[in-house]
Amino acid sequence: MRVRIVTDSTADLPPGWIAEEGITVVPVYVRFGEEVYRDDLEISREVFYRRLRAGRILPQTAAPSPGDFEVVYRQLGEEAEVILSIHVASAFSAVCHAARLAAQAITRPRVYVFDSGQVSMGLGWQVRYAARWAREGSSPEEILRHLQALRPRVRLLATVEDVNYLHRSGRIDWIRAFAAALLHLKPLIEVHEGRATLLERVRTWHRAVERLSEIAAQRTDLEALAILHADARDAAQDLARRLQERRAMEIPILQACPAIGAHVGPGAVGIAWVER
Amino acid sequence: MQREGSSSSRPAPQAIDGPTFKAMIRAALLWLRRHHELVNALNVFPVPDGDTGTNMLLTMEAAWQEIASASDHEEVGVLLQRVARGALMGARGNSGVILSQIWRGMAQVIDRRPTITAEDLALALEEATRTAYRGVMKPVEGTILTVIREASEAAIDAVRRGGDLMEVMEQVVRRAREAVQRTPDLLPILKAAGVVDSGGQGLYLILEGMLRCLKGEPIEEEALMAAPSSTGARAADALEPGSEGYGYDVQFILVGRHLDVDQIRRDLEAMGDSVLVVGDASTVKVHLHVHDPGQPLSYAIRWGSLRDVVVEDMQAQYQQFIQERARAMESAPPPLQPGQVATIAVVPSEGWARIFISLGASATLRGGQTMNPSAQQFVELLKELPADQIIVLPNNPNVVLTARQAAELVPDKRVEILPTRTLPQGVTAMVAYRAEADLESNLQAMEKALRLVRSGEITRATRDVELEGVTARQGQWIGLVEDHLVAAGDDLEEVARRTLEAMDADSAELLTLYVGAEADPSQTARLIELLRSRYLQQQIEVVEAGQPHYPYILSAE
Repeated sequence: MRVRIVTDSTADLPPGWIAEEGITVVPVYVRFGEEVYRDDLEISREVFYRRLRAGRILPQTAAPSPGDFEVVYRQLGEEAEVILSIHVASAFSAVCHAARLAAQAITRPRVYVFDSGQVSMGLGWQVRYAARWAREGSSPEEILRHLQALRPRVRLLATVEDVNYLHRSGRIDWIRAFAAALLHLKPLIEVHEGRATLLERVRTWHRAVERLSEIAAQRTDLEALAILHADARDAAQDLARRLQERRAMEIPILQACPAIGAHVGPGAVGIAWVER
Repeated sequence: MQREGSSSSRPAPQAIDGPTFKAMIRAALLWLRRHHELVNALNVFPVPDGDTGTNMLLTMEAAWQEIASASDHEEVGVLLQRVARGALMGARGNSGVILSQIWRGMAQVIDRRPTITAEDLALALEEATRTAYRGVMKPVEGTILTVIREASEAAIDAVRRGGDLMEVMEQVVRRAREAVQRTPDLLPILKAAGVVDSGGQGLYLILEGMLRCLKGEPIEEEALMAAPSSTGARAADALEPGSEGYGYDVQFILVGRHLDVDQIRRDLEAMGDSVLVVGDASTVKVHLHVHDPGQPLSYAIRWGSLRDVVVEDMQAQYQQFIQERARAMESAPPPLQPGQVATIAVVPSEGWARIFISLGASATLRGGQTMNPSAQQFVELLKELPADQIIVLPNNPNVVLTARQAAELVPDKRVEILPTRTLPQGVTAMVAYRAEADLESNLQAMEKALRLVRSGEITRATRDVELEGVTARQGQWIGLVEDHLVAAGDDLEEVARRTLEAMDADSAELLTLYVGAEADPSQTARLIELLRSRYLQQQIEVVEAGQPHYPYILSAE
C-alpha cells in the first residue's frame, strides 16, 4: 500500500530531507498588510527576516485553506492510496482544522490527519520519523500507532529576544501577563504535547540561550536533536558547538520559516529533540 | 429579473434568482470590507493584532471572484456552488474556514435550483449550521457558530409564521445581531475583554450586507476597489531591498475626470513602495508607503479632489502598541495557589511595587532608605499572606535585620530572608522565582541569580565626606556601587560614567536605568543619551520607578 506523508511549512524541515523522503509540504500564508505570500515559496527567509527587523508592518499568518489541502490530497491520490497528514499543534493553529475538513470532503485517497502537538522541528522530527517508517513498509495504522508513542517523547525549548512578537501573536495566553513592567525579560518556553509552558525567566537573551544549552546538556537520553533560530545564526551555531562536544550525533541548524518567525520575532533560538 | 443597484421602489422579490444572488454576494463583500477594521478591533488581546475581519474579507473576496464575471443567465444553484468553492480555496483563519463551511452547507441544499425561496433559504441556513458545527472538533458557543445557528432558527420560525423572503431575511439579520450581542454572556474571555465575538460580528455584517441589497439600500462603490491583493501577486515588493525605510502609510481616494489609472500608478510607484492603485476614470483608490506623505498628496491633487485621506506613522504605530501593552497590564498580584511559595518585596515606591508584582511577587512592603518598615508591619503581612512558606526580599541592607526578627515572631510559617542588598538584586532574584517550584529550588535559583547583577546608585551628597579615597562635598553628585562610594563631582554625566565603569558595564549585556522621583527630565534625557552612545553593545532599558532620594539607580547584568 502506497503511503504518502504530508505536512505544512511550519515543520521547518531541511530541503534535503523533504526531497530524500518524498514529503509534501503545504505552505501556510504569511501576510504583510495586504500582501499575501505562501510561506517559503513566495517569500525567501532572507527577505522575510529583513522586513521583519525593519518592523514597519508586522506580519500575520493564516493556515492553508481546506481547499488548498483538497488539491494536494487529490493530486497525491493519483499515486497513493493513503495519506498521513501531520501538522502543527491545533492548540496554536488552524492548520489541522483545515486539513481535517479537506480529509472529510474526499473519499479517495484515505487521509489521516495527525496533530503533532508541536511546532517547527518538534513537528519536523515526527514527520521525518513517519516518512522513514513509511519507506520501511509500515502500514498507515502502524505508523499512526508509532506516532502516538513518539509524540510525548518530543520536546521543543525556545527563547525569544523580543517578547512583544509572542504577545501580539496571542497564541500563548500567559505571555500577556509576562513582563509587564520590564521590557527586557526573556522566557524559556517549553512546548510539549500541545502545551506551551514557561520553564524559566531570565533577564538577558544570552543568559537564556546559555540556559537552553545547560538544560539540553544535562539530557543523556536524546536520540535526535535540532537547533532552530529566527535570524540568530551565530547564537544557534554557538549552541550547536556546545552541544556537539558532548555527543556524536549530527545536529542540524535550521532557520525558522517565515510563518514561525512572524510569531516568535527575530532573535528566537530553540532546540527540538526526541527522547529515547 | 432584479438588477444590482436598481432603485428601492421595485417590488420585493419573492425568490432570489441568479443576478440577485450575485448582487447580494457583492453587497456582502462591500459591507464587510467597509467594516472589517471594526471586526479586526474586536480582539480579546489588548494589542492591535486582530485579523479576523481581514481573514473573513479575504475569504469573501475569493468567493466573489468565482462569480464576478458570471452572466445574468446563471442559475443561483450554480453560483452558490462556485461561491462555496471560492470560499473553500480562499479560506483564511478559523473564522474564514467556518464561513466556507457555511457556504458549503447552503450550496448542498440549493444544489441546482434556479431560485431560492424563503423556505429554501431557511433549509439552506439549517444545513449551513450543521456543516459549520461538524467542521469544528470542539464547537464553542458564543462564536460565529452560535450566530449562524440562531440566524437559521430565526429563518425557520419566520417561514412557519408564513413570512415572505424579505421578512425571513430581516429576521435572520435581527437574530444574528442579537446573537452577536449575547456572545460575551456565553464566552467569558469576551466578557473579560469587553468585546463581542469577532467572527460572529463578521458573519452578521455579511448577512446585513445581503439584506441591504435585497431591500435596495445603497452600499458605497469605492469600498470595492480597496481589494487586498491576492496570493503572491506582489512578491516583487518583498524582494525590493529599499523597502525598509518608508515611514508613512498613506491612503486616499482621488475623484476626478479622465483619470489615467496606469499613469497614476506609474508615477506613485516612483515615490514609495507597497503601491496599490485601483479604480476607474472617475474614482481611484490609492495606498502606498512613503518617506514624505506630502509628495503623493500634492501629486494627486493635480488630478482632482481628494477624499478620505489617511496618513499614519508606521513606526509610531509600533511604538504605540508596545506602550499600550505596558499600560494594559494589571498591577494586582496574582492569587496564591495552595502550596505555592509566596514572596514579599520591600520597595521604596509605587513604581518599584509594580515591577515586583509584575514579576510575580505576592505582596510588597513600603520601605527602604530612611523609611524602614517596622518588624510589626512585617509580622502582620507574614501572617496575612495565605502561604506557609514565604521568601522575603529586603532589597536594602538596613531592612535585613528587621525582616529576620519578624520571621522569628511567626514560628508557624517558614520564612526565608533572601539577602538582597539592592533593588536591582531583588529584581534579578525575582525573575528567577517560579510559582510552580518548591521553596528549596526557588531559594537556590534566586540566590544564584542575584549574584549576576551589579548595582549602582547616583544621588547627591547630603554632607562633605571622604570615603575610600573619594572626596565629595555636600550637594555634589555621588556614585555608589554596591554601597561603595566610587565617584563624586559636579557633573552628573561624569559621575555616571565613572559609576558605570566601576560597575564593569562594558562586560554586561543589559543596562537598566531606574529613574527616581527627584530626577530632572532633561538630565535624565542626557543620561539616556550617554548610555546609548557609550554602550553600543548593550541593551538599554529605562524604567520610571519613582524611588525617592536616589534620582538614578543602575543595574548591569
